[in-house]
Amino acid sequence: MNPEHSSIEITLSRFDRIYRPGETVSGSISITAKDGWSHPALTVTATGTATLSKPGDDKAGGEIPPRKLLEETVEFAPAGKLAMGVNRFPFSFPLKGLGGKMLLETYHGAYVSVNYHLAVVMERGRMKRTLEKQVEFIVEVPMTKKSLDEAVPLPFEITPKSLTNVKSTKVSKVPDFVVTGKLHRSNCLINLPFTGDVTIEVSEQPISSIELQLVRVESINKALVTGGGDAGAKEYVTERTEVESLQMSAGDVTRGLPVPLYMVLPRVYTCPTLSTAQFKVEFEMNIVVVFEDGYCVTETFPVTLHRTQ
Amino acid sequence: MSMGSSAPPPAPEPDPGPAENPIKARWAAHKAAILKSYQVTSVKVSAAFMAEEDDIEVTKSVKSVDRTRDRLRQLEGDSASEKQMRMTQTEYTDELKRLHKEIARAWTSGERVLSIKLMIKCTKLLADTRSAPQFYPTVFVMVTEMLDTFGSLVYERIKNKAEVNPENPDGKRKRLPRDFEPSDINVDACETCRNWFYKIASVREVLPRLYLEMCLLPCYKFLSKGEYPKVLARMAATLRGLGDPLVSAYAGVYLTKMGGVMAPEAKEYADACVQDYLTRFSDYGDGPSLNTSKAKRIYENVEHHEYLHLHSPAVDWLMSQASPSTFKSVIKGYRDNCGNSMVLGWIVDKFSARNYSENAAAMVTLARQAKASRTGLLGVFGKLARGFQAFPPPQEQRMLVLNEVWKYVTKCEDITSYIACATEWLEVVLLHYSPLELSVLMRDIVKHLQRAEGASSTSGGQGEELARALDPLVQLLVRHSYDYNGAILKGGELLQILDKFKNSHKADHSKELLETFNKNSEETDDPVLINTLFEVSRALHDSLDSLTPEGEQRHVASLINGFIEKVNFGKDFERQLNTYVECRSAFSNLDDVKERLILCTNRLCMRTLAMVKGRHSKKTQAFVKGCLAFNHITVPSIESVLTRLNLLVYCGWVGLRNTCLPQTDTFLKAAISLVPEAGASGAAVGEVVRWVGNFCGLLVMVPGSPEFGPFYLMHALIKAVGKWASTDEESSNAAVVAMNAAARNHAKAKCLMTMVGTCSAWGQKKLPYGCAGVDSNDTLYGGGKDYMEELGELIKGILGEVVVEIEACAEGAMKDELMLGFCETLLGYFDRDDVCLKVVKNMVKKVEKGGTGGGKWKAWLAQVRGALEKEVQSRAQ
Repeated sequence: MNPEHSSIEITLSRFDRIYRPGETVSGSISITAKDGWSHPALTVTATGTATLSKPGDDKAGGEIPPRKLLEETVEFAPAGKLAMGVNRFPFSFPLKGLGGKMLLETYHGAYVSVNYHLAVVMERGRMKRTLEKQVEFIVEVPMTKKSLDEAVPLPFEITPKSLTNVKSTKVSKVPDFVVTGKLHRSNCLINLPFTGDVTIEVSEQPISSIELQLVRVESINKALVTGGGDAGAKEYVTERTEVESLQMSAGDVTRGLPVPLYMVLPRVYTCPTLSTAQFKVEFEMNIVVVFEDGYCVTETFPVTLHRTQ
Repeated sequence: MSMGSSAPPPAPEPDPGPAENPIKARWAAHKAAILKSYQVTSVKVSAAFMAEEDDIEVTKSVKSVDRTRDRLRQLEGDSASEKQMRMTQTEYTDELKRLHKEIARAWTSGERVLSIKLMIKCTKLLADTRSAPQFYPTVFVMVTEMLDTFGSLVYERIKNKAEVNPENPDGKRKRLPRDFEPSDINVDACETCRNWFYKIASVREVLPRLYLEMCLLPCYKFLSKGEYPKVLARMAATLRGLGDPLVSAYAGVYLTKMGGVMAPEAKEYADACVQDYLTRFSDYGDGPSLNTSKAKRIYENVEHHEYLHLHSPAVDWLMSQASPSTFKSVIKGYRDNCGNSMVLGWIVDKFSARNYSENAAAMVTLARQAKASRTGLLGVFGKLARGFQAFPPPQEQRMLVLNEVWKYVTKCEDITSYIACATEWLEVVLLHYSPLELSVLMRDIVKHLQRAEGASSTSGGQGEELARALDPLVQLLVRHSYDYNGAILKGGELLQILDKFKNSHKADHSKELLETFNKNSEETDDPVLINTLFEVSRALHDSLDSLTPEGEQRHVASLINGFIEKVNFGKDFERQLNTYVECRSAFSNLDDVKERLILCTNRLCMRTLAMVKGRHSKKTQAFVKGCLAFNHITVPSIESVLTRLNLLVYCGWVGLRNTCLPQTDTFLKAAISLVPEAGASGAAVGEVVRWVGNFCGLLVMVPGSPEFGPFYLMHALIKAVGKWASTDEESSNAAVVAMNAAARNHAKAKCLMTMVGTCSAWGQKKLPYGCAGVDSNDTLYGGGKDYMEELGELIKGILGEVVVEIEACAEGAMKDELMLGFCETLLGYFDRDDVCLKVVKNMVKKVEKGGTGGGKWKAWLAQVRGALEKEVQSRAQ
């Protein structure tokens, strides 16, 4: 049966398209060919790139050059002729970084982005439209260290006195409150939900809501940003942006009753805490208590995300 | 207000497990009760609710942290300045139903994103407890039904993926077994399921996020085993984050319902929900007097007791989901933080009384100390009583408990609550106490009823409400009416209570009472008991009128008859007769009862006879005469002629047996004079013939009169039958008239032939049977010449008439029957002399030659004729 148009589809062996370094990425390319034609050897290319963008309006010095993490070209069909209809070709290749370097985990951030793609490009001469297809796949990089047994909890207490952004003289003007709680782990496992609890022990003012905010802290080497300066010096330009903000409680909660903190870490928008010479990706959790009059109290907790085997 | 048939079709339910059925039935009943009770006239709805649905962020956007606070402020500000519009309850529920349908429709047309957006929008309605709090429970029911639909849609979608072979999507599907395991699920379905959980985990607001996860609980089954206790525990803890007590209470209801369906063995989370509810009660439970901002906010819209009433269905459900073993900790939680009668009522109701019956007195004290609500003290007492019915207080506490409780119950002003509570305690007393307490309670109840009647005019609605409340009380009394030898029936209170009902209602209860009595009681001579039932029957009888259907009248009559049969004064026959006399005047409208009374009186006569061993004294004779007189007066008041005829024969027989000849005479004469009316009253021809047969049988024994001759009754009967047969029928249909006339004449002939039998018996030296103590014709006339001559004339006369009838009869089967009957009569009752044989032979010939030629008996007839001819011949020789 002769199809209307020609097209290429790339299908990966895994439905979730997640692979780890050292594993074999496999799948199949199916080319739907109208009328069929002869072709040279066909290849699929896997690329992985870390892209950095300059924060702020200052775009002086142009874009930061992206860093190649992975480039692998695999031939899936020798030169030959494509039959009319659907032609399927399996492919596979081992997943490893360029030059034996470590691969980074897939991550879609604000200023930092790590992406992996598979692409097929098929030139058919000047008169014919080029067939191409690109699919994204996901790389997860578990840590090489042994598994993280010890949870490091983080208890906290917030009172007007502990606020850092209020002048000590004005503290008395702030309505009285005592908020306690803990994060169960400050060294979080990225594949498990983030948990903790928070208790409004005392509050003069009624509470409007309690929010849990996941913040990404992306830092880029200053030299790369400004375009000059010493790239060796560990100076970074840091930007904080919100990944997700979930409401943990709505309305005036009962005093002294612990309210759970619970957040499923969003896939792809988070990655294990990472630090390289060029950039860093780190995370923070904010607990925000909003009072009825609109006044907010925010407490920030640096957290580290880890992926175990 | 009902949901109406325009509700969207129920989505297919997932199959979670074997224990789902009881909880599903309970949930359905619970929902129905809520929908009935929680209504409102108008609802304030935010304009945003009616606007297009585009307020959900499904995609992520980048925001600076510092702007977060401003954004939050902005959101709060938006909700405050939202425009509101008023809708009626119907408009509102119609809109919800429309949204329900829309969610399903969007899903099935592949617009799953729209579907989830709508679902989230609807769950947000459950965050609003301000615009129409009275309506909240109903809104909860409607929104959770949408959630059930939505959950099923997601579940089915994943299940479909699990049943499709990913390598061969169009090929054969593999059905998932009912108890499938996560390992049965293919990767595609797993991923889809996981994606759904990721999606709802990223919903920003806690209320929709929580409700969505609840409705998707069944989907955890696809991913892992044994996760439910952990998941449910986490979700139960999350309820604490819902600051509004009404919101969190109902969220707990939905959680425990879904958890109860999916994981009925996991109970700890439900217990945690209950404990949290009790702990938080102190935030608001005591009403506006609390003076906290939370309390202020709640009570500026709703009155205190009304607000507790809104919580009531949630508490009801939660308590029913708690583990039975947690009673002690629940009571502790109640004591420490709650103390309100609405909650205590549900604790008492939902936990088995086995838990607290040993401490009955303490529970009563707890109830007394409970704070006010619509349930109130009496409500709690009532529920305690229900528990005590099955698990009574220990013996040494019983009187204390009853006294303590009644001290408060009797002070109650509101008659409906009083009756409801009193009914429950009455049952406890009936089951576990003694007649003494019973009578005290009954008297108190009557006192309250009288006071209530005196106080108000019990007009229309209130009267009806009271009657409804009294129903269970009366049914209880009826059920136990024969306890303690009918103590309830003997106390006068029952009648007084029955009086409070209106007619048809009262009649129903009276009927039940009589039925129970008839079924359970033995014969009785207790005057109080009899009097009570008599009054009940009389009232029931009086409630019947000409419009009452016949079946109903029959039923009532049979009930009253049942009662009458139970009255037995033993040897005191006079008293028995007096009772029958009273009954006759009381139940004069029911012929069935009068008939029964006559039969009972007859029986009384026979028992008297048995007692004197067949020899009446002057006294007993007079008594029997009295009975017969009673019957004599009663019979004419019965409408049915045939019944009267039968009764008169029976009474005649009784009279004869008791050697009351004048009375017998009267009865028989009365019967004979009634015969001509038999036709007009609709008695069937066959029945009349049968009756004549009975009568003639009796007549054999009846002695003749010195005044009128030995056969005067027979003469009268012959005349009467003749009159009956020649009744002029008024009918326009000539054919029918002719047919009926023919039938009657035919019947007349038969009657006459029967009478011949009696006459021939009279001709015997000794009658075939007689009556002890009565001289019949054989003794009286001894076969004397005059006697036999008169008898012969009589017989001839009768036979002559028969022949006339036969000849007048049209040719056909009827005629043949008559002729053959005639032959039988001759052969049976007369000497078979030549004349006789000749006549018979000729008759047989006639039949043979006649129209039907004897029909199928032809051969036999020929045989008979042959035999006859032979006999005649042999005699001639």
